[in-house]
Amino acid sequence: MALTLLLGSLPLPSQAGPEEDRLAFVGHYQSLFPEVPIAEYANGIYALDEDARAQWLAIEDFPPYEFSIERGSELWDTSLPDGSQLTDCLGTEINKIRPQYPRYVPNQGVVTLELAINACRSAAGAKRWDYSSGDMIDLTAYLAFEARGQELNVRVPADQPGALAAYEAGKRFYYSKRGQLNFACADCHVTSVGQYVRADRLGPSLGHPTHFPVYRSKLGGMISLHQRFFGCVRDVRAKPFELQSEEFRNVEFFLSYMSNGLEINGPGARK
Amino acid sequence: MDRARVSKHVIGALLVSLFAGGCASEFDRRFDEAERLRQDVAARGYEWINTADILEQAQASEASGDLAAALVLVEQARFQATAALLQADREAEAWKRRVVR
Repeated sequence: MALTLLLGSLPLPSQAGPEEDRLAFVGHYQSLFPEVPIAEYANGIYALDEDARAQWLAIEDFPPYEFSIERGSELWDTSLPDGSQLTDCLGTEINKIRPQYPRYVPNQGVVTLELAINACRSAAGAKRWDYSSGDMIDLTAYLAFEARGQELNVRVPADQPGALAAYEAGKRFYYSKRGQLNFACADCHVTSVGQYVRADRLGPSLGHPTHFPVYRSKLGGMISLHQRFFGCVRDVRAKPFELQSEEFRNVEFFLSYMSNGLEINGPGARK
Repeated sequence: MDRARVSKHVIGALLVSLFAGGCASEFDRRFDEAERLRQDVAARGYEWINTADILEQAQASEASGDLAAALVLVEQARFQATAALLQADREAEAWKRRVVR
């Protein structure tokens, strides 16, 4: 009894390292859905729900995100005010650009693809894009499309304490309850994954970042991963953070690490 | 109007204005407290979705002269911010229990 009280009053043990976390994370879904191959999680809820998967595959015959990819391709080829192009700043191997993000950069924190695009635009004298703008989403859709088949490979370098701190901050955010509904991200996407919320099943977090940006049928348009985060935080009735805020970039860093090894298959189509 | 009656009106008006002033300052005090709590919880990243909106509505009610409604709204906002702070305190450790291991 005394020991229980003593242990109960002590701070909880420190967290495991990122790779131990990832293996446990993957193992959790494997134990819940042993029949689902891990690679399938790149397809989100369609890995778990056969009916929804059939509908999704039918939608993929004429992908609603195609216009976004085309527009993104045009933006990629558009010259910036100083005469340069994005390829001069982001890299010439177009299929290797998306997989480089998110990544930790000392003194900058977690740099996402969107942040990198805006940094390039800014350096070339162009106006920074709003993070919910059609231009930004179309370009990231194009870069995701070009990177299809590449694997997520987020690194938390041991010699960069800031990277581990950002990872831990994202992890903490993910598991913390917030808002009037007192929900954590994990409550829906880990603990209750696969269960119904009204007519829809809750998707797994494993594989979440692989397929963004996505075309949401209910919205009739494309949204970014951070807009999805924004919606979740709002839905639990907490005040959402800004798109590309440090909080959301850290969550993206953590979740992307959890999905390491899964194929990038964006842009996607979701209900 | 006799002198006594005038005095009664003057004293009455004085009391009403003192009462209203007291309520207004009571509103300001409670509003400032609720706003401080909201800012505290926002700094910790746990602000609830409509606490700031409720405080704005309280200010509008007070400005329109509906002090009773304004005080009710301020109390709602104070309650929300206090509950959110408790949530932030609890989650300082509680989140670790949810980590998949």
